[in-house]
Amino acid sequence: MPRSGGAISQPLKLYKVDLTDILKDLKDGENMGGLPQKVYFGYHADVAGWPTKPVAPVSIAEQAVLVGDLTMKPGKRMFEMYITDDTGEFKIEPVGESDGKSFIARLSTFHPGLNANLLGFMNAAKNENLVFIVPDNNGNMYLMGDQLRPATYAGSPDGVGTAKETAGRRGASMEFTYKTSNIYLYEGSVPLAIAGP
Amino acid sequence: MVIHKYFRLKGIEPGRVVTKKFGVLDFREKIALEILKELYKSGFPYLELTNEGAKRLAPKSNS
Repeated sequence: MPRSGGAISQPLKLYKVDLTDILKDLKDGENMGGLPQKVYFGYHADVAGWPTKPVAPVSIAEQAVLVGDLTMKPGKRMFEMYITDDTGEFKIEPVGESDGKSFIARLSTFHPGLNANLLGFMNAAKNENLVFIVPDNNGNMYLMGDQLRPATYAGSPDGVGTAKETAGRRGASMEFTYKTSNIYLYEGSVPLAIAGP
Repeated sequence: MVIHKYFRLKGIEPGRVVTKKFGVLDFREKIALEILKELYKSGFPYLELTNEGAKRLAPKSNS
């Protein structure tokens, strides 16, 4: 009679999603680049609930979509940031060595002007853990941040300042990064209203 | 806060919420019942049924 080993004797189940053909599947032929003129942001610590990774997904499409909504702690909310048209970019960079691959998601933006709200945001955000929800021009959204890892301010690759020429663009470029094991679409909501008790 | 005789806002003060399907919805303003029903069915976290809504919209059990 085989000995019972409790949970240890249970066979390890490894889930692999079913592969499928990946065809040219552009909804209504649309495939516009860039971002709209806004992204959404908040403090990582203000998030009450995170969407979850798909559990035992059957298809590769399910494997790439988070489940549920991001919700905020009482008294907190997400905020909207205007970005100049054609300056916003969301980029996914694979990193790591063999058997250790993961991704860095990068959000680049340019906000015009050097007003107090923008400078105050940079002061507050530069060393803070953040979360971003980034819409694209095709109706998709990407969440930068999860329960374990935040998005952080990485720098201002195109500078912050007045520009040299009178025809130059005065304002602030900003880049934020988020390190993640997998890349997902976010299909939940963005709470711009204050969360209640 | 009751925003329709069938739906109550929960967990959030009346204001703007961005949704994937309907874009920005402002819950300080009147929102069509069809939109509220679809949001609720999709698992939108900020809506719950009122008593009247539960009577009219909740799925009926077979028992």
